[in-house]
Amino acid sequence: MTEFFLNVVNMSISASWLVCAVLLLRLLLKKAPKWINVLLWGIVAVRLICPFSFESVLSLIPSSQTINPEIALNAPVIDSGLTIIDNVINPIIGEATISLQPEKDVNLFQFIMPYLAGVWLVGIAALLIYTLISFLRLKRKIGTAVLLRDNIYQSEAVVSPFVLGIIKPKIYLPFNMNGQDMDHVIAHEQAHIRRRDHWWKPLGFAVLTLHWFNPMVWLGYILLCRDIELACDEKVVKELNNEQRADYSEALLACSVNRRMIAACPLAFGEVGVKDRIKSVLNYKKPAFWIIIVAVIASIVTAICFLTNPLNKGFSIEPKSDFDIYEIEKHYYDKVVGADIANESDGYYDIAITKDMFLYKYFKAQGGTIDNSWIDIGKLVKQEDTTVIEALIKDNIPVKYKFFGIKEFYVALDESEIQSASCVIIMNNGDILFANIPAYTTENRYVSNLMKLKIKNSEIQNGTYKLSKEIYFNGAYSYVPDLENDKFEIKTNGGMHIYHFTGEVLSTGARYEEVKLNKSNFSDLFDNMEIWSADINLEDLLKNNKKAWCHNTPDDIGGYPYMLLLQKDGTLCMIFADFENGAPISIRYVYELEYTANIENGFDNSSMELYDLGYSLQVIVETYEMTTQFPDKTENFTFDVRNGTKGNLPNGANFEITECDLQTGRLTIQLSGTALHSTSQAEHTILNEIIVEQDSDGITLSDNGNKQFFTFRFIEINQNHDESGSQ
Amino acid sequence: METPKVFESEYRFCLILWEHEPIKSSELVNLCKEQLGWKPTTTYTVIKRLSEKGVLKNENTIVSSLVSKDEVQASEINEMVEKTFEGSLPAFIAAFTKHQKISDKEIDEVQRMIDRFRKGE
Repeated sequence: MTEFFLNVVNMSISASWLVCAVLLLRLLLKKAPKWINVLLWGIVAVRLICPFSFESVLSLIPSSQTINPEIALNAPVIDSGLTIIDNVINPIIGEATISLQPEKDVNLFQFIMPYLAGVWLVGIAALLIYTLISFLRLKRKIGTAVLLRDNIYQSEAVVSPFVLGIIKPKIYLPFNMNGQDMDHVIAHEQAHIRRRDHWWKPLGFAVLTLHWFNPMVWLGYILLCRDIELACDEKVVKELNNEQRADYSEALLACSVNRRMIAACPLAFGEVGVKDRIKSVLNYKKPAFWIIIVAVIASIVTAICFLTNPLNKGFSIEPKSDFDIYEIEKHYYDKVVGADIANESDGYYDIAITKDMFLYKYFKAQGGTIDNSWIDIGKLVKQEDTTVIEALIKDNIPVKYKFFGIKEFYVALDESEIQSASCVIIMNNGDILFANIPAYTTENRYVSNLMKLKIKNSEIQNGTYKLSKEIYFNGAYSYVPDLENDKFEIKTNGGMHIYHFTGEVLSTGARYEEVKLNKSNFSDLFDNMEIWSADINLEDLLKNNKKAWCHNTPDDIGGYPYMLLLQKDGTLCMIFADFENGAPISIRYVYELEYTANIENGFDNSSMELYDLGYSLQVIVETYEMTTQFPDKTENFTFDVRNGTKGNLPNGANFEITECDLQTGRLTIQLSGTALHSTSQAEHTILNEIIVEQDSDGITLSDNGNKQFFTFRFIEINQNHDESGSQ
Repeated sequence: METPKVFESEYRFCLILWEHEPIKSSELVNLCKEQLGWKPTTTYTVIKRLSEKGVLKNENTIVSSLVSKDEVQASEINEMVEKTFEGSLPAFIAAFTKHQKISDKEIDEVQRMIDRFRKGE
């Protein structure tokens, strides 16, 4: 709901720019017929309710997504399209914090968003209720209206004529109107009906209720009402001669004079001053044809410029820091399981994209085949032609994506013979999809999975925590957590990692998986109901629980940090349990955690070596030396280095020939690259082996997979230097 | 007894009653539907209201008047439309109500504007 609210706010902001443009146009098109104005407001209404749109380079809207719901809820920042505004607002909302608990600040922007959404809903409800009540009261008052003819009624309750009813509109007049006035008034109201104003005005009001918080929308609505009146006057007066126009004006005047019996009547929204209307009526001249043409063209141009969204500039899949982690939000298709799948994550994976566009997968299956590490899939390469992917996925994507279209797409091919592809597809509305396509490079390619990704966010502040309040304590055990020295370090990018330090020594560090609390993994493990603290018990813990993470494969020891609970009020609890055969058998302690420090300040350097901070992007440099042999160890030959001494390995790492000794024939090659690795892994290599092959023409380097990646050709120095070069 | 005051719409109803009384209420309902365009519920409500005001009596579903045409003050009462919904938010009323606090001065000004226009200025 908060996200929906933010989308409405974005639409409102986009439409506000349009309102400004319409205001300008109204001034410029003063001589044009007034129905053009109503048309322009119609365009504004479309902008206010239609969430979908095309992107076009002609768009004049600074930004279609000033507040990106995903971003706003995680790392508050706005993109209004105007740098000046962004630069003023972003620092404020980024820094603004609110202290919910001591030493635990939550960003103010994120905190109040749901409350603002609530206020918005209340506002809508209030407007609707007020409208409904007023409508019913009016209906009651005019219940005894007497039929005059057709659909025209008269009632003593009517002071000023109006039309009521959407399906079967009826005209209501007061009694005692003189004949001539009445004719003109009826003509006016009938013109309203013919113009369908009895639909437009309520529709406009409905749109207003959705955007009640936006003063520009109120302004638009007020002006819409005025323009409707003026357009209606024009429609009537068009057919009248001068004498009749004067009569019409007097009818208008008479109606407003009657009103004087009513005391201080507030100027209603949208009602035009009688004087202005009469002036318009008397001065009305049929607008020249060319003016109408110009006005229509101007309206069309406005529609194109403002109903379309700006090209999604600046949205890029490249991570802003070392890497971004994504999790699977929705499955759209899975060939193995079948088209309809529940949103299970078992057997699926998280995805990481590193700064240099490498794709990694982290499998989440319990006891997975891969031991808690990221699998390198390949380098994502942007593809220019999207027709292939469009054809492949079109049957399995929700309708809205067909509407949006693909903005960019990247493919990482694996190195097998039948290259399968992992594809990252970015849609025009910023959504990111992921597809696995076996046999991508052949005609037999097909989609085996299609899913939607979402950046993994964390509701828990990374850092160091210590135990604070005791909630459940089974004193029967000898090992008791130490409130002074027991610390937990929680790091959430790339998954939930919790490190447990007892007196500065790392006792456990592991990745925890999100779970749902149930009887077998939680409730039944509390076997002593008497050792709860006075104010919280099991039911409270469960009721207040928002999320829980559980250690999957702990050692069989007692007093193990088993689960982390995040409660709805923001508190964190650590559950210690006993294990047997890898499964928890009973819970020993439950403590609340208290945040103490930022992760950087958590521990001094000596203990830094002792533990694994999770994942990082490692830069790895490896050097190889090898000796080659020239065909003729004289100065007659040299290496052809026209193509340079640098290049890329097939897996994307860089290589450079750093030394090349013509006397001895020794080559030194340096490989460098980055890889996403758990820092607890001892060694990482880019290549296990470089194989040097030499023949009379030159030297070929290939990796241990037998893919050649560089060739040095020998050339005779005294020969032509445009002999065939190396690859 | 003071002659009861009736609203204009009620007066129109009384005209029908005086013409056809005494009349069964169901028939009265039909007549009101034809001539006034009233729903049956509206007619019954008015019958009830007027009987409370002492204008008519409804005995055993026969309705007859208690006051004559001359006695009833044809109404100059206009039921005031309350300010709460007049020209306020309820724009669901395709209410092309035109109201504004227009002063005497303005009225004169506007009338002059119209007169000048008539004269062809």
